Amino acid sequence: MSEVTLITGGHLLCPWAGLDGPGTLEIIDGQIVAAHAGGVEPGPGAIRLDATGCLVTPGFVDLHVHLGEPGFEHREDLASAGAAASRGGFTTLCPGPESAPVNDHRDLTEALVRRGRELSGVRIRPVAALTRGLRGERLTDMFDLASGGAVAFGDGDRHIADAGLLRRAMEYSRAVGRPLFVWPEDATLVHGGVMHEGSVSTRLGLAGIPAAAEIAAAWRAVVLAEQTGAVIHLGPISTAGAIEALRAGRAKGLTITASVGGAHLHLTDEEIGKAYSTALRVRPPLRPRADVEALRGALAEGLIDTVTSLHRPHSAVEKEVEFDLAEPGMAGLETTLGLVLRLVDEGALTLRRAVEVLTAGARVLGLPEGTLAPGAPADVVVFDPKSKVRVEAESLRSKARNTPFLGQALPGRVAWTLVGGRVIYAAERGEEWP
Amino acid sequence: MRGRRHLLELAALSAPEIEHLLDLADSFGGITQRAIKKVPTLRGRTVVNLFLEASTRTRTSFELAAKRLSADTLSISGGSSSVVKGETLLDTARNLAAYQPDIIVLRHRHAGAPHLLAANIDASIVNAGDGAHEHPTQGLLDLLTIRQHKRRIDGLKVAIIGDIAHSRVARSAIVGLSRLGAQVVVCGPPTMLPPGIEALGCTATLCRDEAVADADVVMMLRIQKERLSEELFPSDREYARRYGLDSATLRKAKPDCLVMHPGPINRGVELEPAVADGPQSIILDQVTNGLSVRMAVLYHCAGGGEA
Repeated sequence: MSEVTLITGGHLLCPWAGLDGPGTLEIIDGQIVAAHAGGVEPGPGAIRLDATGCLVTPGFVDLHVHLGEPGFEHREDLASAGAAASRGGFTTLCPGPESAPVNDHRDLTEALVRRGRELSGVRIRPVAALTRGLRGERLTDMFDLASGGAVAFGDGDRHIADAGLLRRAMEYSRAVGRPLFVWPEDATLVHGGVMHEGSVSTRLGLAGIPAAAEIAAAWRAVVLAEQTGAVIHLGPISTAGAIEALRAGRAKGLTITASVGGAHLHLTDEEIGKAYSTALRVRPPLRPRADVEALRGALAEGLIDTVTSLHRPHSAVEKEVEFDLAEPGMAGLETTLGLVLRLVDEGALTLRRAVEVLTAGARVLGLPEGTLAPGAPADVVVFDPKSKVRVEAESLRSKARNTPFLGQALPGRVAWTLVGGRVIYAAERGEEWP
Repeated sequence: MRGRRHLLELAALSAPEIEHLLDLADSFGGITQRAIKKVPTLRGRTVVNLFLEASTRTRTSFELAAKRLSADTLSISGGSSSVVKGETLLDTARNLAAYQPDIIVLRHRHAGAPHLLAANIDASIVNAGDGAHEHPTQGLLDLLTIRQHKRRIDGLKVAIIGDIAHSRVARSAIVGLSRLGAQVVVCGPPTMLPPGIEALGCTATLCRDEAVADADVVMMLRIQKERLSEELFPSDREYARRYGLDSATLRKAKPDCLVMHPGPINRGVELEPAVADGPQSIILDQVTNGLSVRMAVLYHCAGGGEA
């Protein structure tokens, strides 16, 4: 007997499937079957979700997350990451390889995919290490890792110093058929920096990371992509200079996608000056207002493809310390939808583009999900974009509290999140649903 | 914590607040001239000197200041603390706070460490130097010393020469001097001039002679070799020639120009010995004034005087 779910009364919005209007989404056995313009009479046994007043969109896809597991379970684990993701509307998470042990081996990739789905409820699609042990010396067995479920390759936030190695990796990746992730940050220019280098770092006496660290690495990646014809993903980026490199690469017809962190579209380095808050120590570092504006423009125009949570959970152990000693990163799975919708409220993005940037990760990676087209896996999120949710330490489902948005009310209240047609998050009507 | 008076940075103080602390320091200066150099002002109060980075002069100055005010003092320095055993700064401070000290004086190698304590510990926090951020009592003693010699700060031209990028002394001096109306010029090799320094209230130049020309005060900074993790200038010899202060260069300043240095001096690098020990040098006055400034700050943070 088939399992039928109908999501009724909502506004279907999916740029990839060309949907933008009221209708009913019909899901059978975990797959999207049809989007009906009108209502549909539910047959016996069908599950009906009333989405009145809500948007019905594809589940969100996040290209840069840390899950805590394996190795850092005090920060996050698969279950808590899944709980946070589903509350934030994310249905596919791409964890970077910087776990302990490093994800440079097929066994670990497979275990992450399998256990991830069981324990988190969402789809875990790992980005495997490009070099063994992230040492930047020898390539991993990329075909083998891809067979095990790796959707892309990269050394996470580690800089690959050897340009010759990066060139060979890009060449090889063409045969593997998976994009290569480049985190553009030249470690030799970072040189111990802990925030953006500029008048604020100077005033605070904190060591700066020049914008050139990102821009130089971005140009290098673009030049090598042109040399090799590789498909690369540049990101996360945070500077106007990296956008120029991206624009130049696109103009040459190269296949380069890019991502930006949700917080980087709002916060500037000025914020750190208020009280050295370690929640604001992130990679890439928060930049000045001009960069934030450039990022917003590039996102709206389509140059930057997707927004990532850059979810990096940390406990008090990593954050209740001096700014210099704090681990970089902020938790983001439960705030990214709100930050993107805030851009809509501020007139920086259309609602349609907002949904696009939250789901485009699937296009970057060539995944079947991230669309409401018939035949796609039924990864769906139903949310009220107008209703606001206060970010509170007590109600976060992540283990981590390292977000600078605590106490703020962000737009976008998720009512239901479905993965493969199964409801994995339902806001309790009493508390979460007005 | 709220309700406590801290001294975290001069950047947080207005001109009248700075003037008030200088006036207080002047009045405490008289005590140092007496035969019996102790007053009962802070009797029964506890001052913890938490010095987690090597320091001789600032630590001794704070210790003596607290003792002259009759406070009970507890001094902890980097080597003897649990920090070396892996305890975090906050845990160390929380343990000390369990004794209910009134004031914790913190010297720390990381910028913003005093702010971390101020937000989490129930005591007044006095910054005795945090990384490359600020050294507010040094800034105050520099201001006091200049004011005593020149009778004013407003309108003076002050040149600050050396490693501006890594200097907390420079940051406090720039902020304090500009707030009181001085014209501040900073100077150093480009590798030691941090971006956006002008926002603190100064102009910047690469040319030493331009900085020194017609200056009322020249403040030389220490080259902190122990802190430099990368090559910022080729050699001591080249530095001394281009950015050190010798008698010939000093003649380009006003005839009564004062020469200052926060110490300890690298003789022959940033300062020619003849200049360091010459009649225009007021380096030892700085040390003496350090004591009265720290007495004033402790008194102020313990709740004395008008805010």
